[in-house]
Amino acid sequence: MRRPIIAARVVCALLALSGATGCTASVHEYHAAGYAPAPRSAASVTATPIEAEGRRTVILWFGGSTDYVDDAYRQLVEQCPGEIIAVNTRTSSSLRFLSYEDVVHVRALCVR
Amino acid sequence: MSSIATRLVIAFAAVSALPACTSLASVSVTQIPADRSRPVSAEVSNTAFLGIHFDNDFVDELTPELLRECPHGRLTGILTKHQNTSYVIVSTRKVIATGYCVYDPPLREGSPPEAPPAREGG
Amino acid sequence: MRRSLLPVILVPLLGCATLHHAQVDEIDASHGHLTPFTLTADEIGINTENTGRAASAVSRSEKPSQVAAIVALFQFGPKTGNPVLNDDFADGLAEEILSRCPSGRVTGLVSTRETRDYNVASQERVTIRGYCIDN
Repeated sequence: MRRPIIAARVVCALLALSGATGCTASVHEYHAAGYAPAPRSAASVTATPIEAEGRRTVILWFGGSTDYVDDAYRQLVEQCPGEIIAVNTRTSSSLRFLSYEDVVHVRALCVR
Repeated sequence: MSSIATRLVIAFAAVSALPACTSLASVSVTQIPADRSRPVSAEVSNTAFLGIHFDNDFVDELTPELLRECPHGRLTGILTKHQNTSYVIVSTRKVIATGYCVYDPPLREGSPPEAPPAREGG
Repeated sequence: MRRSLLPVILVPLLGCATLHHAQVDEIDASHGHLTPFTLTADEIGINTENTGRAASAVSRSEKPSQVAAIVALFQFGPKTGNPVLNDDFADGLAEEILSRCPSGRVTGLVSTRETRDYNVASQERVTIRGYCIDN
C-alpha cells in the first residue's frame, strides 16, 4: 500500500516540476526543400549558412495574424543577395501558462 | 419580430467585433532565386458557418492565379501559408502563396546543350 | 481483474504510429544515378494527462490526475503529438543532409513528422528521406 502512494507522489512531483519549468514545446512541421543540384564546377561558388526566425505570442487563443512567417521569410531574403537553396523550415510552439509562442525557424544556404 | 431581428443584428455585430483567432496550419518555403525583381502573390480563401466545409476545391484556384501573374515565366521562391481564422461562429481557411517570377535568359551560342526533355508516355 | 489489464498494458507497448505531416520536394533524375538515404531525429514526448491517469489508477488516488490537470494549464497551446522539452531537436538535419551526400547534390526529399505513441510517453520523430545524385 505504501509503494503506490510513494510512486504517486514521485509522479506528482515530476509532473509539477515539468509544469513549473514551462519548458515544453511542440514541433508541428519540419521539411527540407530546394536542394537544387549544385553546379558541376563548384570552385567559384560559396555556400554560406543563413537562418531566420519569426515569433508570435498568443494569449488565450488571441494572437493576431501570421505575419511573423512573412517576417522570417523577409529576414532570410535580406541576408542573401544570391540564390537561397537547401531551405529547412521548422514550425513549432513553445507552450506556457495559458499562452504559447508560435515559432517559424528557417535554415538555408546562400549561394553567390 | 423587429426587436428580435435588431437583437440578432446587434449580437452578430458584437460577435464580429471580437478579436479573431488566426492559426497557422502549415508553412513551406522553396528555394529562393537571386533575381527578386518581380514579386508575385496570390491567395484563395473559403469561409464557412461553424467551420463546416464540404470540399477543398478553393485551393484549385491558387496555381492559375499565380500563373496569371507570371505568364511564360518561372515561379520560384514560393512561401506558402495555410491558415485558419475563427470568428466564433464562422471560420475562414486561407492559403497564401508569395514568390518571385523569374524570366531566365535564353541560352547563349556555344553553351552546353540542355538535357533532352523526358518523353511522355514512357 | 489483472488479466483484463494485460491488453491495456501490452497494446501501448507496441506503440501507435501517427503521421502528422508529409511533404515531397521536387525529384530530379536527369543529372545522374540516385542513391537513397534516410535521416531521423527523435525526441521523447510526455503525455501528462495519461501519465496522471495511469498514476492515479496505480495509486488509487486522485492527486496525480489533479496535478496533471494543473500542469496542463502550463502546456497551453496547439500540440502536434506530445510536448517535448526541446523544439530544436531536428535542426541538425539541415547539415546532415549535405554531409550524407559526398557530391553535395540532393533531390527527391520527403519530409515527414511522425509520432509513435506509448500512451504516457511518445517518440516524436522527424524523418527526411531523399536521394544523393552521384557524379
